[in-house]
Amino acid sequence: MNGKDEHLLELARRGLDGHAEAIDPMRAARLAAARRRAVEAAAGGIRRPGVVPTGWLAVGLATAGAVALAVWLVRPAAPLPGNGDLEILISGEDLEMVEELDFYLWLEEADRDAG
Amino acid sequence: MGGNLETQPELERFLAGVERRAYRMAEWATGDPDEALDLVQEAMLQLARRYGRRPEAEWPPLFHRILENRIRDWQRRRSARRRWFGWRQRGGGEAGEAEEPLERLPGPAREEPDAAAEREDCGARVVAAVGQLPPRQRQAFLLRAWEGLDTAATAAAMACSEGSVKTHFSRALAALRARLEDCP
Repeated sequence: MNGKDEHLLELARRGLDGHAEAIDPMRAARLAAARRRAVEAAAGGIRRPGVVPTGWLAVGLATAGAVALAVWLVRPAAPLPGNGDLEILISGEDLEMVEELDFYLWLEEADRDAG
Repeated sequence: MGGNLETQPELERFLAGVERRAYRMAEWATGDPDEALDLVQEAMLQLARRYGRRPEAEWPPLFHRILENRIRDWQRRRSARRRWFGWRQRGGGEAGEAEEPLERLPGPAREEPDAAAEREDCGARVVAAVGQLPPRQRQAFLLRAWEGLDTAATAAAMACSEGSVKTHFSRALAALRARLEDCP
């Protein structure tokens, strides 16, 4: 990249920064509110790995066991869901994981390079 | 890496730094300020929920990848709606290089008074010129030149090869050079 391009990039950054600063106050306030919600979600939305309250774990296991027993007793030969049902059963989040596989591979590569 | 409470200030700082630029990017891509705002909000929330515990250095490409996915989903939904109702898009075509809603947006060039200083005028010309770039060129340019991502991170954010990023960026630079050569 030559000196002219460096000047062009600087010019572009200046113009674009001005454009970003010129966002009207109402929308800027909505962006700030959305940011606060996102940060709160990060704080409260994800549990530390391995930290599951013992009481809830026991209740969960007992419920899962009871449901499994009931299904086995009532519908021992229930057919597997068809293709359409299967798509519904697969959540959007899982599909995103598949779509973003190349991104995870890149992250892994970046980690390896950094290490 | 610590828990989420420890990363809260860093996440807040990252999002505060990127939110306005992300909004402008989404606005360019959609041509709709309200839709742009919604898309950026969703991207911030998804980054925080799913990747808030990832190392801070990974947030920029992750955030822009999420935002790009949201924009593409929005464009697909809009295309599908238009096909469904049989409306012909002005200028024709699907979401892609030909679809450029920027010109319908009121840009700073029109917001500024006629007697604006030369430097301000140049800023408005930069904005208009960037807005006229084909979407992929514009995205590569903004991520590389404005966000400061390197080629690999830009490729990850754009879901394409590093070679494609270099091509898009180089073409964007050439187009901007031609349009802005008389800017001081």
